[in-house]
Amino acid sequence: MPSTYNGIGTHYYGKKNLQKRVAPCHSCGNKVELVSYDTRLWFVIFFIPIIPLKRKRILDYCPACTRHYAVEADKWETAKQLEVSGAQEKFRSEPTADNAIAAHQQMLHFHQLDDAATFQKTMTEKFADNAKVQAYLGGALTHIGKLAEAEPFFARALELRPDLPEARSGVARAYIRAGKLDEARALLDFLEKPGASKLYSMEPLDELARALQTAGRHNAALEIFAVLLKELPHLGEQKWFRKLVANSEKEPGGKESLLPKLKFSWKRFFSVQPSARREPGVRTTWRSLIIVGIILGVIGIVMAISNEYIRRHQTLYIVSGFKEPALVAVRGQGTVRTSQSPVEMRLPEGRYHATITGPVKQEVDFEIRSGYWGRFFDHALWILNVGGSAVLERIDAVYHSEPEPSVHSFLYGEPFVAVTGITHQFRELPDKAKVGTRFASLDVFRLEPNLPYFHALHVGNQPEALRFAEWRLRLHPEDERLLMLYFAAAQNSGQGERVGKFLRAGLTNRPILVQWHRYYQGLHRDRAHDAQLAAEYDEQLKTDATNSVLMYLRGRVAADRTESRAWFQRACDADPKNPFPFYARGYDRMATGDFAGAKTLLARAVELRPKQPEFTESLSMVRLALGEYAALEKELREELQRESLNYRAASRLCDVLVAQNRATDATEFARNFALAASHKAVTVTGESNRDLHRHVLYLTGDFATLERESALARDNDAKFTRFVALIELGRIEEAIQLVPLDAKGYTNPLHFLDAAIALRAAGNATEAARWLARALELMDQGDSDTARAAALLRKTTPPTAAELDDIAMPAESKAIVVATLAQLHPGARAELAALARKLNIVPGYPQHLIAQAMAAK
Amino acid sequence: MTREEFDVLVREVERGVGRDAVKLRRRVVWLAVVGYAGLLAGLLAVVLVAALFIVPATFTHWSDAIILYVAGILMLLGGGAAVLKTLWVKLKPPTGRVVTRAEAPPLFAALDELQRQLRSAPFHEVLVVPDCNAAVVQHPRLGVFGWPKNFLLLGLPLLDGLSADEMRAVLAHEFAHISRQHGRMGQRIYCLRRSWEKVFQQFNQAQRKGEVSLRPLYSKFLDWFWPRFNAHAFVLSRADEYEADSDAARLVGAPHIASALLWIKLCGRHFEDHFWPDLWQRANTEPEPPRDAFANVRETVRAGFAPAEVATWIEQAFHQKTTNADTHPCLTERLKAVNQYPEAAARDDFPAAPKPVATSASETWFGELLPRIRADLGPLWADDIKEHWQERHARAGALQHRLERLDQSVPAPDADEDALWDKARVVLELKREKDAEPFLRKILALNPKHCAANFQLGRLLLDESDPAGVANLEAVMAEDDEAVPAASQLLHAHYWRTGQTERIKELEARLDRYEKNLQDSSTERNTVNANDPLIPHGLTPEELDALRKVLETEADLVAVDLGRKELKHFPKQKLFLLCLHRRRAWHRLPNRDMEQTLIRCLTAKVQLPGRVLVFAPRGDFSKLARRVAALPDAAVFRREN
Repeated sequence: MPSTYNGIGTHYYGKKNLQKRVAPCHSCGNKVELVSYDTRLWFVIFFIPIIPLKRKRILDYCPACTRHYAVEADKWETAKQLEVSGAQEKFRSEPTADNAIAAHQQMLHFHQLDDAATFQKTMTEKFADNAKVQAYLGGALTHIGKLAEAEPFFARALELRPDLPEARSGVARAYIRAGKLDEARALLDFLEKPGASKLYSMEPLDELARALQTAGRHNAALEIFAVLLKELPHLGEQKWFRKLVANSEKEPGGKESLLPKLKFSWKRFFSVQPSARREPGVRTTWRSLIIVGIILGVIGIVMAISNEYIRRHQTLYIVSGFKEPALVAVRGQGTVRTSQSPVEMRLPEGRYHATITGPVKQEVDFEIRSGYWGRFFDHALWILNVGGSAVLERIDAVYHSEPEPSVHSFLYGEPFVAVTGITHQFRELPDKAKVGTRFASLDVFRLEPNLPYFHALHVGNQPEALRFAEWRLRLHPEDERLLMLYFAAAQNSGQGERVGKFLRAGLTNRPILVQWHRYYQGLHRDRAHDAQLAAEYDEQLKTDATNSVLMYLRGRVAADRTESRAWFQRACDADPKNPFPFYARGYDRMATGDFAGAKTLLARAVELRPKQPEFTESLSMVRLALGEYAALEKELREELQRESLNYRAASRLCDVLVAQNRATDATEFARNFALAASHKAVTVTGESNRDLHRHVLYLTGDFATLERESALARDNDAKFTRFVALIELGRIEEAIQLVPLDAKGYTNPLHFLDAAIALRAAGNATEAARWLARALELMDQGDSDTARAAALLRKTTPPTAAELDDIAMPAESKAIVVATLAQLHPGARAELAALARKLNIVPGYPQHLIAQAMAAK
Repeated sequence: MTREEFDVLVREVERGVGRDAVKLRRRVVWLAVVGYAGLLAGLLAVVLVAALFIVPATFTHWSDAIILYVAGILMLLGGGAAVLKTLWVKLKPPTGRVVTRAEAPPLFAALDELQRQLRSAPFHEVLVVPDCNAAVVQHPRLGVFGWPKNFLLLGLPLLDGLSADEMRAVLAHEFAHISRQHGRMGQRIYCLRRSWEKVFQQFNQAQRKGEVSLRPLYSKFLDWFWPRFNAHAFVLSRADEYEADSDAARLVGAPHIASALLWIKLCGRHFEDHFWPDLWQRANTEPEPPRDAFANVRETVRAGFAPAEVATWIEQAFHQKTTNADTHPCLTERLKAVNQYPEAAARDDFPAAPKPVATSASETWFGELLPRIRADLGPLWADDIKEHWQERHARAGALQHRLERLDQSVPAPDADEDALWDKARVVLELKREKDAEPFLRKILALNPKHCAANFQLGRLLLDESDPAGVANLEAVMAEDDEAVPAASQLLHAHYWRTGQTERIKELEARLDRYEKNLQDSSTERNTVNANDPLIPHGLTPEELDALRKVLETEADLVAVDLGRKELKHFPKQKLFLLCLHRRRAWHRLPNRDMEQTLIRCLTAKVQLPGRVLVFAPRGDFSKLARRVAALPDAAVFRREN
């Protein structure tokens, strides 16, 4: 049989030598017009015939069920010619009735209906008085559906031999079709004799009975049914026959049923009885319902057994994020050792208690439970996560012709997890699937550990990001990068109290984590807080007097700079390899303007801890202040060659170039850098390029452009950038209208000091005083250095050099404070302005403002 | 394997391993084991295939494994059931009048003595049956898996006709079978043969397209195994018969076994030729089987059989030769084996029929119980054959009606062959077969080649030991290939009865050839390919002229070549190959449709003395066309211009 898949395969094309005959189909039994023809089998692509394969003869194609026979056309033709010619030759050599019948049968066998019709004439003439031949021709014509043509032959046969059963049956059938039922019955009398079924087919009698029933002659029909039943007792068990008889027995005046009582038999119940005449359409019977019921019952039993099997054989997956294996003992079920890949444990559903030993000691109570249908369809997964240490990534994907991003979520922290809907357990999702398919996978997350944090931020779920960070930092407190990100994110979202609580819990960790302490100290820079911390450190130093880290941390919360410097010195002495006190001392020097001294200390700190960003940044500033442009430029360019997308280095290089009065080079470099970066990483460079561009505009003093562009910009920073540009352009009124004194979100006192400087420089002393007052208000809430700076700003007398030295602040911040002091104390302006200019080393706002305000008159 | 080849194999076994009874028995056991292994190979294959699913399932997660388990178990159940169905052979246990120890103590005393003397297994049931025979039947309760139940079947005619000593000889023969485990072995072999027959039946069913089947593998195994197993089992069974006769002669005395053997032959012929046909003839008139069918057996046997018939039967019995169609040796050889062969018989001076015994074994062993047994046996038999009897009676009724209508419709049918045959057919069934002989002869007078009439007349004549029937059957076989097996069977029985061993061999060789050639000859006559052997057409000038006249009517025809395919199986038949060359302009491609139209046209017109294939030199027929053209005188038609 030809077959195609998506239009590719084999197919018949063409119809020649078409022959049709009306007969029952061999397969479905329907009386239809069967068609035979020559055709050709082709190899087709998209149903287009490409390669001719074979010539075929299709035999008796049924239009109802499409079943047919297919033979090779040449073989069929050869066999047909040889068989038919052989039979004809035999008839020619011996023209007997038997040979004539044999030849005619061969023609019919090969569907040579035209030749058979021609030969039939010869037979009719030659054997006009042969009842057997006449009866045969009647039967042959009946077989090919030519009932009307058959009638004369049967009639002639009956005329010649009134005893001939075939002739009597043939003529009787014609009478039945004509409605002459009495005549038909008279001819079929031999079939009503006892034992007739042993010699003859009882089909004509069956036809007669049906015809009588149709004609409403039920008594006569029942007489014949009785004969049929006596001759063929098995009919009594056939439904179709019982139905026929019952139809006639329904009529009024009916006697006792002639049908035997039918005992129930399973064999008969399950056997398919041939129906005499198939009724069209779907029928619902008790038998079919019971069979369906039994099938459903069997399915139900199989499902119940398999469900129970599943219930008794659920799988618990044990995962661990620890490198060391853990021992997990599930009470009553056994013990397993974890490995890098998930470990399976087969358990029946129920409540369990697990004891975990190894890298973590833990007792876990958990329950494995699923519903009946859930066992088949929920794709449930139970995971024991040792110490909650492993991160499990769930990916939910829907397959489309145009792929959409899959949904990622992460499970961590919980010692036991039960999830559903996981189609791919601890394995990857397939790349392709049928469109519309939904798959979900769950696997241990093994990529960059902090990726879930960034993912949560990316999807705008900051609480989840903080939760992940806290969980991860508890397990890996040494992860300073994540600590920094966490601290910044929490601070920005105003969750200082939460961060304080979290960091506080880590202060007792040993060895001491410097960064945790530094962030914690930076969280509340007020004197009371510092004093409390100082007391705690003092307490710890009593038991650990030589701990350099403790000394350093103690110095950071000391009441004054002298004390701080002493602690930092002690820390350096206690542990010359501790970089933090060196950095603290360098920072202190920077605050006094001793850049050369700061450089030595900061270089030592960088040497001990080269990847600490504030160390390198401070050293870079100091070197810029010291005018090491050529060296810096060379180092930065080398760094950019290593990391082409390093915006920090690019920004610093622009600083160095502008410092060398190479503003054009800086602008050119920034433009080229942005272009190159855009080509390399289109999606992540937009904001950074914009910031670099604004930074360069500020450095080069192109404030008009900066103001114009930021006025048109819609980003979050645009407003403040325009404020800066307006300040630098001297359009102070516009600037303070844009960002008024009471603008929300501005808590940095230096912002108000900057505005005050600008206002005062513009001659608006009243407004400057208001902005200064707001700055002082905020500075009072700061750390001790900021508070001391506020105190100096409130003083009516100029500060002494010692008082200024006592304030340790970043150079750019201290420059602002000193510049403000210079404006407030005209008498000391020259010295203070000189100090401000000295400290004004950090490129960027308010470097120009201070430079202008403190310009030597 | 042909009969001739089987005979050679049997001879080889007889001359080889058959000389040592122990070795032969061991060989048969081994072959039986091989046979069972062959049958169980299917089960093994099913288990292996199921294991391919189940074993991986044990290493797979349940969600995937459940499908594998279900598939494996379904395969195991379905495949296992199919194989076990093949192995499951249901044997019907024998039926008859059960005789208990309490009812017939003398019989059981004789049986106990024989059992003790031959150290044979006991019988679980003793049955009296209507057959003219005695037999041991071991009925395996679990089919091929064994657990036999032993039945001793005693034919009532035998008990009535033989003396107690003669009957003891018969029983000793049967006990010998069971004592030496002949019976169990025989049943096992029987079961194995039935199992393989089931396999054969399944092989004979049409294979579905794409069906995965082990048939090729089984066929090769069967080709090797079956003839060997059969030949060895055959030789063993025959050796068992000799051994059982020898044991019986030793225990009871050779003269008793000799007279019993001769009497069984005569009684068997009487029952075959008279008793059963007469009894069943009553089915035409009586609606129910008689319940006293065996009431007069004793009287019939005591009165003796017709002397003329008995003389013929004795002569035929001594003329019969041992053949490989039956495991039992012929009477002559069995008598010789127990030194009871009458030397005068070699000179055709055959012994007289044994005289009826004064006191039969039935009277000795059953005494007053005998009438009751006889009365019980009749209804048992009647119930057993009731359905068959009623069918025959019903059929007789319809036949009688048909006969009456025939007589009314065709009062003088002597000139109507069909009417005569219809009447003969009815008479053959309805009356004594002899009554149909005049009708058959009239048919043959009208049409001497009438196959059915020749067959029936031949059968009737051979039944009466009239060798004239051979000619009728030979005529049937010459006329109708399909009648060869049935006619051969009748001839084989005749030749065997009359001791014509050589004719039997010829007949078997002929049957072998027939069976081998049946398919080949049909294929040879119905197919043509380019490699068939070809010969010149051999038509007479008149036949050629007639052909050319037909060909000239086709204007498109430019040349015709004619040849014949050489037929190996039926060389007298002819198969002509007529190759047409149609006119075609040089610049046109061949037009297959036009060629086919021409072929169809000529196929209807051309008349040659045999089968004709008309074809064009295209496709697969190109090479054939060249070969036909190369034959001498092939160019029968060329159109000038």
